[in-house]
Amino acid sequence: MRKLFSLVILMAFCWPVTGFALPIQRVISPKGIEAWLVTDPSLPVIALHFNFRTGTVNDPEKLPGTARFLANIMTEGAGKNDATNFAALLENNSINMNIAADNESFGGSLKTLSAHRDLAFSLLQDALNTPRYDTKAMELVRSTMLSDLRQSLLHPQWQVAHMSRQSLYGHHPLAGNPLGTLKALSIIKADDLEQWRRDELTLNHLLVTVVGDISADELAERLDRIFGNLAPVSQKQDAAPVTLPDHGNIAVMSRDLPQAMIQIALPGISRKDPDWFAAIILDRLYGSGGFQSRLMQKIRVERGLTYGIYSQLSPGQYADTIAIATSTKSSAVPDILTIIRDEMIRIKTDGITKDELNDAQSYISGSFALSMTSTDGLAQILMALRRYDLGIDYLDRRNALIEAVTLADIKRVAERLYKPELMQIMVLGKDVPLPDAKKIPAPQTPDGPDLVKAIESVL
Amino acid sequence: MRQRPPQPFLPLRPLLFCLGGFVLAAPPVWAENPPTTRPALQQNLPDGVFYPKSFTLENGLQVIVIPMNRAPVVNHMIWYRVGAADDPRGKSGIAHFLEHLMFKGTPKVPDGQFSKIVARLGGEENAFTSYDITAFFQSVPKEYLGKMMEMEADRMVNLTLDPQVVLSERDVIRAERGQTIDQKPNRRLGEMMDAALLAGTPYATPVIGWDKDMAGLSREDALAFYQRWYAPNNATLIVAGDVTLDEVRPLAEKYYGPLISRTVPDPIRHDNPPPAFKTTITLRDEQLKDPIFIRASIAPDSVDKPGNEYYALGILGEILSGGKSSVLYRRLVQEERLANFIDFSINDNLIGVTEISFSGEPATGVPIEKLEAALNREIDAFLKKGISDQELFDAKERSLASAIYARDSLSAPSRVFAFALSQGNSIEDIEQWPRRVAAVTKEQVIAIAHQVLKPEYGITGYLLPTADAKKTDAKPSTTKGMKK
Repeated sequence: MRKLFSLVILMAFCWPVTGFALPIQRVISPKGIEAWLVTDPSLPVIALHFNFRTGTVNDPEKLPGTARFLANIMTEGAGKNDATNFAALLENNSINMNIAADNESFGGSLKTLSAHRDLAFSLLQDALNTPRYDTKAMELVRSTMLSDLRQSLLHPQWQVAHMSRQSLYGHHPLAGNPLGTLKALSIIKADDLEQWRRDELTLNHLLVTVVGDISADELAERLDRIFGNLAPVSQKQDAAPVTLPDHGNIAVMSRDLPQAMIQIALPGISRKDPDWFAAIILDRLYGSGGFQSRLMQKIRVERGLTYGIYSQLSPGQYADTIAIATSTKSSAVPDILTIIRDEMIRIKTDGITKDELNDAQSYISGSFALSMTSTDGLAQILMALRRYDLGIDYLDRRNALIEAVTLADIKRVAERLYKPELMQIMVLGKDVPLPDAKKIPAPQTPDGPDLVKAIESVL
Repeated sequence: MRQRPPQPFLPLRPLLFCLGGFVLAAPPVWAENPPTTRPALQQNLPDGVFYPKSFTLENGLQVIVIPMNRAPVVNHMIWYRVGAADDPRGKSGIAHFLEHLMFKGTPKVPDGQFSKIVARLGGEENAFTSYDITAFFQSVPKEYLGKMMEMEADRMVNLTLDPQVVLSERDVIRAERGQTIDQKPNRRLGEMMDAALLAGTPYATPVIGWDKDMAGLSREDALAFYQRWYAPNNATLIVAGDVTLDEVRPLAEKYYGPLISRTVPDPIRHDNPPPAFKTTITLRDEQLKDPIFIRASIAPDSVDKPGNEYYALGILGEILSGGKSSVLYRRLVQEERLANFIDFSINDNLIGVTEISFSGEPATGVPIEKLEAALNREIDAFLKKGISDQELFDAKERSLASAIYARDSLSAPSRVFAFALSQGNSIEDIEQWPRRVAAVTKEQVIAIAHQVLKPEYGITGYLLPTADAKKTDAKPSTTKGMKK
């Protein structure tokens, strides 16, 4: 009978290298909530991932930190169970529940033995619909977040990341710290959190993917119980779009560190762009391919200047960027920056070889199966398909898209993306010999607000 | 909410399911969900965990096959029974340096080609060095298993090292030390604590080495180490994934079979007595806002070998370690608000030594001494009260679930086998783990708790912000002071 209430579409895709077939089912609940499912009874385990298309970027202007606070408080007591009982029920039944908020996402994952799924699903339902905001739990989350924030403000990695965000995003909410501010975290109340939950965690924002030991019929029914009571549509406006800077920037903040930290950002490419795979291949050869990348070859293998250097494409709803990060001894910073720029220009001028293209193509197609060896890994892939609207048949098409990339595509994309003159170059370290860089004064008291002010006043 | 295990001891804490860093323990809260309604894993015990098959080649190479057929891929790992604990005096870091140099080529597969070929085949690869083992592994589509064996067997005996390449790679490992240890206060504290706690054993020296030794490591040092330890009879091959023993055997015979076994020395692990002193180490760092303490000690020898006490300690770890429903978290973090986190951990990845530690970060404004006093009080209360049937039941359920989750990964099972076997466990020990865990009694857990929770000797390490001057300072350059 239950079949009547759920619509199940079976999509098989073939793994061309190996003939590996992965059936993705589109499950639609009686209330119309959609989930993508791969049923796999080979282990008694279920992974459910969910994601709302919102995030810290939509924090109330005066209360940055709200989304993270809510994500943290949801597992600190919900429904009939206070924080201690809630944790005990999860832990004693080996149910892993994580809820987290990032710039552009508010989501989480649930992993359970299929034997404990009744309890697991009902605890997730409680967390999302009826968090308790008990005073004690509120104060615990508040003080932990404050402590994390204070700690992060002193952390070299955070400091250089903050410099980078500031120079890229200026006054847009993306420039802020997803953890919030000391001031906001001290005053956020339960009402603020509940308001944000009702405004932002809505069915039109919701994406769900599930992998493991559960049938489509059963999932359809569960979806309504877990998510069916959320508001259907959000009335709130999303944050404004971002305009990335049209000029480069180089800044140094002085700090005594064994290794100076370098973070570089420049405009990138959308995940939905037809040239996405050309960009991925290019990025792999330039900097993201570990030992297959030119940056790693030149800087680590040939010169021994660093333990690691990586580039990365970061596509987003508000801005697409390319990031390059490394660390080295202060005296080598100018050398590394020169190599980073020169290799960008070299790949743009000389292009890449046919062999390099073929190797990158076969890696990007072939390695995909490796991410499908755990229930969580697979649920995550399904979520990426949904977040970027790539289509349920995308895995069928993926290899053809990769194979279609030509040397001419690579050249065109390199010319479009690799513009060293647009680099936002941020360095944190002691006595870094970069005379032309803006100097961000090291704050007298190395405390957060001072530091943030110092960075903001210069960039 | 955050969980921040400080990871004080090892550069690599493997994903061991035994005594795993899993979640925690348990006040009885079954008013609304009585345990009898739950299907209990311990009442329906499996015959094994990974169901491996094994054989040994004539040259002494042991081969273990772990069948897992969720995707048409395999994880191929070869690990050698040698690690940083075998670094000669004055050459600390050589085992790890050699691990890096193993990617630098042979006549057949020149420098850089190994990684390139793996990548072209759609594979991923890496390697790690711990105190007792060095492992190299690749995950690839199953049809390339033979190719991996061919290349791995080749570099077991045919490594060639260009002197220039060695020099530049030495700069890389020194930069690695800078990035992963010198830049991280908790890692520096862990290094100092191990140096003192394990003084006189090879485990007192960090896996990556002391920088002064690393600066002098040479091509000849690396080759000497390679020729001494890298041989088929000192290695174990693990293949996990979509394969059967019948598929693996002919490939292993073809590629690894021709390698010639050699005499390999027995590893020396000094059996020093554990420290008979109590001391503190303090490290200040401007990166820190809130102080942290780590209280570490050595467990009695009886827990090192698979036996009642070994499994009972694992259960004790499940009951006490840092999850939100464990007694320590509940009392000190939730109820009294004295701590932001509190954790109990067991490091049993060393041969013949088990480290026990408590760590915690006081809540803002709480003096660290107050948190330590409260922790002592809770330990006393725990020992006095003992554990309930429910706590034991829950801890076993969680342990058994972690063994199921360990199978939900292509690479984790190989690591479990490598570490467990290197510590003297047998394949049978791993497979019987659920049954032995299920057999632990309350009395055994309480007995081991009395032995390990209030050690007479040990070290407390403090990580303090620069501004906080309340604690007495140790010498600022403690790292140097620990050097030979």
